[in-house]
Amino acid sequence: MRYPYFLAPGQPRSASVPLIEVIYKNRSKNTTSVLALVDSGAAVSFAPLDVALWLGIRVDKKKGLDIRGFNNSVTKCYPGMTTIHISGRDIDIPIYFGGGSNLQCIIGQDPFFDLTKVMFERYNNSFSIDWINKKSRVN
Amino acid sequence: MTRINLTKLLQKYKSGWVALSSDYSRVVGHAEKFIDLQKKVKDKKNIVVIQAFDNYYNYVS
Repeated sequence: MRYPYFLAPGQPRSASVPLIEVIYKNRSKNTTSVLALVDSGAAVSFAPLDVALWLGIRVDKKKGLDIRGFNNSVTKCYPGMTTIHISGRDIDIPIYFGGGSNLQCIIGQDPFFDLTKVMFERYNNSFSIDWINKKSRVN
Repeated sequence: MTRINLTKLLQKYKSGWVALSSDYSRVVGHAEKFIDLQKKVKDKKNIVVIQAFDNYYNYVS
């Protein structure tokens, strides 16, 4: 499925970013659609801790991970199994939750990029996500 | 493909979360905390939320 890039405010110029609508779910509770960055440079997926609190997701405090940002800042994040609805499917993946609203919603490599073929075509203002297998739910 | 241009809609928001109509044509809400915004829009349909940043150009992990 093909998706458009988004143009958002930025300096020195507006930013062209590959965002995708994601619904985070836990049991009967879910978020509205959230625009998350599809980031091939991120090892895992992560989101602000508030998302886990809203959904009532229990994070694993024994498996904390220091998320090192581009500016070398470190945010401690903890994984919580989360159902996300993305590109037409529900999948269960660990999301690393931590930080405040300044921690971006990111769809990173492990395991999303194992399940999909992701192609960025920024020159064409688009990117595509195609599922590798036909199973609709991955645990 | 044409990019979806959010520059004007997001320009005045530097932090927190912004709720947009699902056709990305208008802002329907803003809150500093995710939970507060979810409470505001939970009964509305066709809503998309995005984090507000001063600068999306350095929007990297």
